[in-house]
Amino acid sequence: MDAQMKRGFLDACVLASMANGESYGYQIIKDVPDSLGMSESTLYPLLKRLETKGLITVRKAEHNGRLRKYYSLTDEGRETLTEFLDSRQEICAVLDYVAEALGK
Amino acid sequence: MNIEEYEARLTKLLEELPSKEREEAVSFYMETLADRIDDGASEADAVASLPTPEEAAQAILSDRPTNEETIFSLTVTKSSGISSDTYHDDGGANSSRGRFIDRLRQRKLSVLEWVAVIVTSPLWLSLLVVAFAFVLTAAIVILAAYVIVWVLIACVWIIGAALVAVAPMAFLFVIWGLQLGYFPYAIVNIGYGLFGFGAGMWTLRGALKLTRAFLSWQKRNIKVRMRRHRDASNDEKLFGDEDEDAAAPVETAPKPPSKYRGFFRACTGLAVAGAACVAIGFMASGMDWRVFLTSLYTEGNMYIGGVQVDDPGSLLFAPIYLGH
Repeated sequence: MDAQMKRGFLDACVLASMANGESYGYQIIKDVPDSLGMSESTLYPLLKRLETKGLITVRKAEHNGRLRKYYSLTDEGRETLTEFLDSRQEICAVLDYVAEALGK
Repeated sequence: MNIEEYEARLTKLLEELPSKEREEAVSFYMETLADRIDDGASEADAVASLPTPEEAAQAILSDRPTNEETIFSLTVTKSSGISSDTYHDDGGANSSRGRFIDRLRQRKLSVLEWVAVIVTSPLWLSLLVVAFAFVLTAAIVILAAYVIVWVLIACVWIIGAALVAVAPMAFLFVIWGLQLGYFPYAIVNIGYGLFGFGAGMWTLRGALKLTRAFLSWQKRNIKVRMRRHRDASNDEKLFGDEDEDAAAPVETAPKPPSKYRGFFRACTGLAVAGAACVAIGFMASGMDWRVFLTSLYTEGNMYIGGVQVDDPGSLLFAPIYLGH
């Protein structure tokens, strides 16, 4: 997938990975669909940005004798995610248009 | 590359960041690395599956909002040699101030500026001392107020304990009064005992309430301060002790008084009964005020209720020094 297109989807996928409760860095990397090519270097700035925007919160907790950061959705984050899903039809319409134009 | 080498390399590449930001970024990579190993990967595989330290550093640095037009930009040193103009992000509303401060922090002073700093030192040094004195005074005043409150609370505890301690003493005097057949004195001392015990328990219970109230006030106050502090800076959020949030208890007010009303009533009843006994004893003595007094040792003699005890050694539990 094209890098520019990925960016929008990545935010949504990272938020979605916390929709069913908090998650942590490595788990998020595993959960996000492979096609988006999520890596640490993509995730770290993204998480910081989401936190600055108030869409997620972070807490530290001990795991196996080390500290791990757990991220969870705020109400605002959940709302953003819902809004993203609402754009499903628009995205589909765009894809349909392109497909039609190519006659596929 | 092993974990230590990866960490060292990444830390080195992020040299230009403020230490807090750098530690945070490095710890993020170290965390996923540890998670990959926990997941069954070997150390080498885990390191290999991460972006290279160079890629990681570039991603971290390029995402930091940079603004080359800032006045201090010329003096900022880029030690890592990684280009940071690949991708600029909005980075949130509060970043420009933080950026400014970061740059101030990293900025190096020119010789002229150093000279100016040194030449003006008599001025700013003395101002600094005055400011420091103010801060110190304020801190001492606050600390003193805090200590005074605790001392006052301790006083209430001590008064309560002393009142309660009257009871066994008075009980002893009652025994002596009965033994010597001086009944008004015995009645007055029964009164002392009842009053002391009732008022003492009442005071102790009050002291407990005071202590709890002050502790909870203290807790609430310190909490508020921490929260304010955390709101003040965004970075703080990632580093602050978040676990505290989970443990934050709903503020419990001191127990409702109704639960202890019975206790307080009983105490008041005892104290009133005690006072009544004292009054009755006083009447029975024919309004002789000496009935209130007990003197264990006045010029070698012992007096209870103004009456000299001929043979103190014969009293039950007689004080040792009064023995033969």
